[in-house]
Amino acid sequence: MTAAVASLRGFWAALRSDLMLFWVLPVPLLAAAALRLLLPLAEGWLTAYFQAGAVLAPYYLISDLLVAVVAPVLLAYVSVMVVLEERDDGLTRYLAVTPLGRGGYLLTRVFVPVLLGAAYTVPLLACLSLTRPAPWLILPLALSGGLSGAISALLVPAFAGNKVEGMALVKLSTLALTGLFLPFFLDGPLQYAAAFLPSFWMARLALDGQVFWLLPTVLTGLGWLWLLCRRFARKLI
Amino acid sequence: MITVQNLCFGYTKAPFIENMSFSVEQGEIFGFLGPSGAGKSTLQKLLTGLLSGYTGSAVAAGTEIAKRGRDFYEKIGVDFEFPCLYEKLTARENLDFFGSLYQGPLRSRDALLDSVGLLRDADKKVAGFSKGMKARLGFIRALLHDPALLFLDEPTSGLDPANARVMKDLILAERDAGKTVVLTTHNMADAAELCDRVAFIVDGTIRALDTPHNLVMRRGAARLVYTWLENGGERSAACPLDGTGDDAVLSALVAEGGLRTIHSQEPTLNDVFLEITGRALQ
Repeated sequence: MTAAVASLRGFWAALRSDLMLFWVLPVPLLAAAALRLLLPLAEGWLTAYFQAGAVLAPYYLISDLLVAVVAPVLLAYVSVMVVLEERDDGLTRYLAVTPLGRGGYLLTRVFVPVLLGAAYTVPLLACLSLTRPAPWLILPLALSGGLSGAISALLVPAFAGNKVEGMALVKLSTLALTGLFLPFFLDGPLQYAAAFLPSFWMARLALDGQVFWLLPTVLTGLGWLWLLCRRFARKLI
Repeated sequence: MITVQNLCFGYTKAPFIENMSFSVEQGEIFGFLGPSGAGKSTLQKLLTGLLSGYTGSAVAAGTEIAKRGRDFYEKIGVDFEFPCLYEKLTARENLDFFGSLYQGPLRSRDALLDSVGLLRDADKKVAGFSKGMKARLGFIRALLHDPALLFLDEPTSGLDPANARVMKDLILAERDAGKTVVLTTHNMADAAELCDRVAFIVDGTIRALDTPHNLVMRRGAARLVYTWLENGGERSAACPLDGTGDDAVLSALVAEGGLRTIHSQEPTLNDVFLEITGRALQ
């Protein structure tokens, strides 16, 4: 516990010493507020322009899903940058031979930031969502967003050899979020091509409003995490 | 302090460490010597728990490495060859951070910094440190939580002679305080000076294990090499140290006072390593 707390303090110190990373922290709030304010404005303008009943409104749920993932994913990317720098400096290997260990490192550099991201998501969804999801749905959506964030966080250092490669992989890792969009744009069984992504089941959970869909979200998420954690742990040394 | 029995490990299906057995007593400096790729670093990684999946038994500080818990790392200190430090933090902040990972009492941070001549630079960012300064800081970081067992990888690499001396004296002081030190090095002179026993590792196996003195003596007697002036030029000759009385030339030169130089020439650990393994280290 001592080591984990110390490691989290170290993580916080690393964030404070890098202003670019530090200023990512308010971005989810700003992004959610911007979507909440600008989309209805744009909808008003578009419906008037096209003389239509609704243009963007049927897709407001996509905006809410993005709000559900933005905090965990951005916090995950912040932790990825810290992890990549620590790995480039050989610190991950050193920390593995301290009481923190590899497990403690994963916990404090990946899972705690992502859980904080999920907690950050709850008030964002409660206050700034466009579709006003049922209160019982907010927590499952935030947890699903957290799973997506953890996958994004692990995908990069699990495959990148250094920070430069990692920055390129960050862009590719956003593909793990494509599952959010498919149920909105693909009908029928074709959409299940993304069934291996937790983000797909997260979208189904939001669309159908049935908590049952949390099960495949968690199962696919845990499967990804198991594979990525094993690879990441090997790459730490 | 360390007991290894029938240790085998492979990165692939082929074994890399093969059937290795040895023990290290408490209060001993034990050296792993061998060329690059011989298995020294792999062995150290296995003993510190960085690598898993071995067969056989490896017990360090009373813990079977495969079953180690967090408290195992309270008892060991590790110094890698390349110091891994937070470059944006100062030396003092680095020690404070790494010290905060441990539950037990810590040694005085400033006394440690002073012991390696870094106290004046304690508040400078590590990014501005030379390689030698980083090596010294990395070394005292390994001592910070007062571990009973130290793993040091090339501790004098990149250091000037004066700082290498300081480092060696600190290692000897740790031994004298009852700590066990496992030293991995290419440097035969350091090993001969510091280690109570050394193991020659080649191709994942131990080829020889003994005290440096015994290994050197195993090679045979030392020689005496002497020179004298003859016909305006310098000449030299050698004889076994235990046969000086039988060397007529030497006896004559001693009687006439004609010796120009005279030296005993003992075999070095490097010579012994070369003889046993067929490979040179330096």
